[in-house]
Amino acid sequence: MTDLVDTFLLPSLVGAISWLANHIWESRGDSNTVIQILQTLINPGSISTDANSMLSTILNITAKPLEHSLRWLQRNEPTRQDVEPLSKVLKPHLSFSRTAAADHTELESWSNSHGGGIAGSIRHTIQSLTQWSLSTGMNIMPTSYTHRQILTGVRVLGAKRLLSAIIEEVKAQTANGSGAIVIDVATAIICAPDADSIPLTNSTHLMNMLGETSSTPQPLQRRLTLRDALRTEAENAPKTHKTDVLQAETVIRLFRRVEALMAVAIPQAGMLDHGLGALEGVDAGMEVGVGVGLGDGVLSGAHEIDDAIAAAADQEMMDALAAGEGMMVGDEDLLGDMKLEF
Amino acid sequence: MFLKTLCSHLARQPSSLDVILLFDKPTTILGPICELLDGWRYEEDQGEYQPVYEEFGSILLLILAFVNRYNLSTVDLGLHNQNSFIGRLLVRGANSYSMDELSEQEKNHLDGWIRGLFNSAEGGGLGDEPMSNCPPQDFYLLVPTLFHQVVLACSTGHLSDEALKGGLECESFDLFNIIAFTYYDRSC
Repeated sequence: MTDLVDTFLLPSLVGAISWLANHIWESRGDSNTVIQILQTLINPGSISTDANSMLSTILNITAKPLEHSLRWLQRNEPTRQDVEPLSKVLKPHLSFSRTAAADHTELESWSNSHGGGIAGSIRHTIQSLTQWSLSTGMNIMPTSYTHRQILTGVRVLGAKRLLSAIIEEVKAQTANGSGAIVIDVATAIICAPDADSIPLTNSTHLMNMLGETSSTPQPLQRRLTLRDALRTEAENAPKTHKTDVLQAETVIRLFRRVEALMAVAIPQAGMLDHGLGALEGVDAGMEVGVGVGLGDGVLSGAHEIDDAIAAAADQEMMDALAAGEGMMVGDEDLLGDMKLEF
Repeated sequence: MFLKTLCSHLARQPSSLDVILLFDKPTTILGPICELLDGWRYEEDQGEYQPVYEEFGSILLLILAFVNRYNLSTVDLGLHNQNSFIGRLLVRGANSYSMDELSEQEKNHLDGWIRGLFNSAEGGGLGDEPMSNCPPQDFYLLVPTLFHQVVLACSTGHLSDEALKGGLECESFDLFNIIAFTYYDRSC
């Protein structure tokens, strides 16, 4: 069996340890054997340097499910002394995975927060980030942040409800006088890329696997992102404006910041042409007072192409607004206050 | 540099996987090496098997490291066919099978491995035989079943704690008999 811990068979331990980890759950009251085998595999007596580094990779891959099983076993049989040493060996290998899935302890702490579950805890994060930016001292601890919190929020609450929590916090912080910073924080959160939000370019793979031979593969439907939700909100802004001016203003400010940032971040072929076209459209819109006019402050200066691109990137929304209320966005201060004028 | 060396070096450094994925999609990087493993065959005049297993294992370990670090699915890897080796390994790789579920060929392979691994006291180390009969793909798919047999042999009380503590290299011949007994018994 020691052959298994030689490099030519060592990778088989990935399957072996995964199976043993699962087997701990099945073998009630009879885990001694599994633990003994694990002790031998994880802590082999003599092993070459090459094999040792390979074993470390294997533990990286298998540590997390195994740790879960071991913890379960320890809870069920609290008197066991042989589980703890194994957990100790696994500890440095637990943070290998780089996925968006939140750890159960994280999830518990976020949803337990007494300010309204996950939405509340995300609002709290935004608030802390804003306060941290405001503080002038160099020795202040940075706010702890993991993007898993936001991704979990999108999954649990959905983009629409999470967005409204973010907008609430933006309004609250703006009322406190830190509007410029909080909108930066919110924009960064909304713009952050998420693997789930990238459409699969080649959906034919999946169709092949499903045995479909249809010549026109359906594009896979992806989850609504915060950015999508914000776009919908912005499209409804003229309507919202009638009942809640502050809400509509906040949405439009945030939307414009997000779209401007994303337009620069993802240059696409042919976008410039559209951008120039949109620029003309924008000018025309301003003259007749219909459509989305980007204020003078924007159109003069280096930002004009960027913003025009942003506008072009979202031609649909422009059309919707133009057809609707005939809204005019005057941008007096490029980055700061932005007012809606009707 | 051999592909084996390259793969071992990369798998050893988790951050190198992050860097690679900054530049391209998992499909582009892993697609070709998954195909390589799927289509891996022995040469007609294959002389040595251990180096083949070693190379195969190093490449596989890199794929598994990628898959596990980023929670990749078969779609992410760009696998066209879910019945390919990597597809089966990712979906059912941690499942063990009872004797009824194994084909004749798989039973032979399992038998070969158990003999090879636990009978080594006689010949001193694992011979080429199990490897020459069983291509690496089949071996990796059988690993959980193999361990299931080991656990069964030990937990039915045929194997002493002392023996296990000896690093499973215990009285190899006895262990082989016990396992063989258990598993033939189950197959009846």
